[in-house]
Amino acid sequence: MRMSYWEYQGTAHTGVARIACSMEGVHAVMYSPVGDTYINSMFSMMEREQRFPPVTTSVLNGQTMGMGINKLPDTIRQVQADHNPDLIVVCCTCSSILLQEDLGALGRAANVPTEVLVYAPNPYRVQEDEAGDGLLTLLVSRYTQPLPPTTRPSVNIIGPTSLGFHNRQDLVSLKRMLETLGLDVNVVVPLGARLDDFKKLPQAWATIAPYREMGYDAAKLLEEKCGVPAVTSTPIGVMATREWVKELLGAVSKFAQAHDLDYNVREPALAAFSLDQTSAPSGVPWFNYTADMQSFSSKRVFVFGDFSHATTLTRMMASEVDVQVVGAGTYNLKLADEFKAAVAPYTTKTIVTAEFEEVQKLIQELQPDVVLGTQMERHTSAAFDIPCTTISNPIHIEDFPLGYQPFLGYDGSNYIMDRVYATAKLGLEKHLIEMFGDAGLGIKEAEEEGAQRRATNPRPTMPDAPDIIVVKPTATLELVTAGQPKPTERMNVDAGAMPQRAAIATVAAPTSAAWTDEAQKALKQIPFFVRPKVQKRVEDYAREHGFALITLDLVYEVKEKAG
Amino acid sequence: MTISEDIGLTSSLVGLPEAEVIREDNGYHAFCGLTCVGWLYQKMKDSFFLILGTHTCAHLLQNALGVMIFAKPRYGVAMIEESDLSSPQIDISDIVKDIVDKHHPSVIFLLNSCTPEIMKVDFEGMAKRMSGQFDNTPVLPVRADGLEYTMTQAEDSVVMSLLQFVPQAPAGDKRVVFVGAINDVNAAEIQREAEKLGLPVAGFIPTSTIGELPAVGPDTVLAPLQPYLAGTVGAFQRSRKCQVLESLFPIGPDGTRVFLEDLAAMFGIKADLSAREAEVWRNLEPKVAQMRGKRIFITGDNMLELPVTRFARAAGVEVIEAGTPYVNRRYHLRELQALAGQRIVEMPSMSRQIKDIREMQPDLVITNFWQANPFEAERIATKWSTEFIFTPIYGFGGAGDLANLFVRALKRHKKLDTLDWKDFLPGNN
Repeated sequence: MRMSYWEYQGTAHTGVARIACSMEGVHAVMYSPVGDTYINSMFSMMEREQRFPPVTTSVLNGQTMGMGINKLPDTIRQVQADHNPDLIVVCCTCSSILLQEDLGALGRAANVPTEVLVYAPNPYRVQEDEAGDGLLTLLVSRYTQPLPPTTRPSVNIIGPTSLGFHNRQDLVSLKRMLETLGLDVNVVVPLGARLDDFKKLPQAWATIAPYREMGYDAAKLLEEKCGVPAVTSTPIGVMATREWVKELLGAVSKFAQAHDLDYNVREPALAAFSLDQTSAPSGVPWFNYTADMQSFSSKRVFVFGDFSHATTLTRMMASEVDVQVVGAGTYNLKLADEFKAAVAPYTTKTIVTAEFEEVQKLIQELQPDVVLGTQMERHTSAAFDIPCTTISNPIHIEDFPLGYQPFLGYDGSNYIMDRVYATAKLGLEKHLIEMFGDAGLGIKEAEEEGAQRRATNPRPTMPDAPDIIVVKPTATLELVTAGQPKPTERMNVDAGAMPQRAAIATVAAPTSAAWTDEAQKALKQIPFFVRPKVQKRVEDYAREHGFALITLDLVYEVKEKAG
Repeated sequence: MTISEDIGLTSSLVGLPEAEVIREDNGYHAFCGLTCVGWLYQKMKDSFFLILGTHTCAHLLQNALGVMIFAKPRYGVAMIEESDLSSPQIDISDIVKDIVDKHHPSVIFLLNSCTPEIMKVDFEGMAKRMSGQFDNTPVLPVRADGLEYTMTQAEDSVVMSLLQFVPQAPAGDKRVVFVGAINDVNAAEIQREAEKLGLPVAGFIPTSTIGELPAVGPDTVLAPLQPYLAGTVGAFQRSRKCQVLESLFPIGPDGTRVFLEDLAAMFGIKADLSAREAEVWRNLEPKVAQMRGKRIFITGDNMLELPVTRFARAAGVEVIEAGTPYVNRRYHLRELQALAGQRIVEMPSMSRQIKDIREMQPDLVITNFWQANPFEAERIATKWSTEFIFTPIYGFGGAGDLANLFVRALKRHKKLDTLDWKDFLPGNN
């Protein structure tokens, strides 16, 4: 018994539904009370699925239980009549499993021509990912027999799933890379697959299973049973992707040799991977050499998520983006040791827990500059005012963007870099505005200055966009603390960002210290956005050193000491 | 499955023509009782809702209600784990103590769920043992399990459980007490309308804090605002011998008028609100004009289907089918009479409904979260049924919002349909 306010994963039946909803011609029948149908909404609302989720509930209620009626055979017959699927998967939920019904017998009693598979993992032990992965492995095991390989080199992709984090876009990225490598896609499972596609899995030259929690076991099984080599690393980050390409080509050519197939590894020109066919496969290396990225070396980053994303992003952040990963964790308890080993070279602190409160505590303790986490870490970070971006399930409606936003491969590395950069930068801006004071005042002053500038300069650059002060990063901070006020930088930015900034601003505390007119005047010369900070510094100094009155000399004295 | 509370309706209403009710017995297709928490915890600000449930219940709440934890949520799940399944008695005392220490609620509602129900946990005994044990905080058992209860039925359970906190009104204290957790603005408007008729109003149940609950006694007139409070009304009537208003529910100008007139009659006041109703309809006309003649299908899950259908018909809508989880023939009698000739399906078959909707191509389908987008993909306009629960649709003041629930989807479709992009849509590309 423990108190739960929120969970990283759903229970077993969610995983089963994810497989059914990924596929064509597979229908899940939940033997459950009506409340468990809530998962159907996840598919049509979050993923905006166009079809009715192929999940039907055989409703268990007090009345039928009391009367000893079991509607499961009727439900199976109705599903058969309405949908005529290739396979019906029957599953229990946490309550119905306690009834210990013989679902196999009930399934047989339905007497339908469709195959009925009872798959009922213990929901008290097995959660969403493991249940889905288990069903996927079971399907691979049931429907595959060794087959001769395809004539052209081809690979399977196992793992992309309905409600998987950016999985559909990952698939596009993988397919783009395979095309560049001259490899055909044999079969993708489970997303978009029919059972017949499963039967074709053994004819590939290799299998890609990029997600450790979904498809890894199936790929290993296929390797063992049918001799299709499994490439199971996760290509997230430039180096991991480059290694993955080598691993994949190695597996394919080894397979070709072993089967005496005609195949010469030809590594394409690097530019062939890029979207414009002329650039590097990923802009991440050059981006990280650019001068403003030097500031990232001192950034303290915390990473938390599922196994695949948390491990690979820890590595990418620590090595390619060269930040300090102050901690990394996963909610996947079953892969705890594997996780710790994977992130050990990149961080000293690891956490493996399914309780978000533990992660919250650690974030509070570590006070990182940036968090890469799940939706829950996003909320935690918001509470601590730490910038955060999401990198993993649990799924959210925002994880189904219309644009191309993959995580896997070179394209994925670019997208991740953009996302992390924007998050960290936005965080920095927030931080500066907050540190230096009242953004309400700042924006007002900025508007006044803007109005003045517009009055003196009749050629505004973008008259429709509002002027917002954007504080340039560390450079300005250093200059100001050295006592050399710089003119305000101006940029036109999205108006939508404005209320958010205003909302995070704190009002500078009123002061009781007395300033001479001269000292006041000097203070006024300092740009407004750093003025409160300088003011505070001077006043703190005055208090610490017992000055009742702040004179110009004292201001200079503080400036010199601070410099 | 019908809540068979005897609310002792006067027999004068029995025997009038009623709507045709077909029972398909296909089970409820609604969110389970636990989801009532999402709205009620906001309404009742000194409460804590503790669900005796499982990992699935926690996952349901975070998904179905789209809720994230910001600071100190006033609801949570005492999660039954595998080791608890075989333990002779489930002990939640540490959890209750923790809630009391952290949240200091005036009341803890303990909701049961499917798993403890199947385990035959004596959760009422559990609530009794916990009640008052920590800082004198009462722990009230609320039946909300998905084996029996939908979202709105469990709301009835919660409101019913407040009975013990409702002070006893002395005989002779003849005032109206409105029952139903409606939005504050709607509540204020209904109270004002009642007071304009000279009716003394004692208050509303529930209130935002437990201490404010109005007194109910033998001369109190209890006026239920919602069609899913049969249990509450029955419990009050049995315990306090109060009078109960039997009328339409104050949803739509038509229902609100009858509701207020009938309420006035219970105080011996003859009210005629026909001019007021006409005025509201006049104001609604731009919206009603867009509803008139439209064919609408309600798949049914929120228990508001009867009054909503009655309003829609009054606005000139043809309701092809009004599905609903259940009909309580006594508690819903007046609504059923107002719906004479209407096709109503109790516990409808979802499979049959989908086929009918495809064939009949209604202008709008009011349906649950998971069917809406698939219908939209088939070019059938939809409205989420759950929005009717969360929208302030009560009284004359709520009529505009009620009409908007129909109009918004129709209007948006009409506008988007003018664009030359149909070939971009599902099924056409």
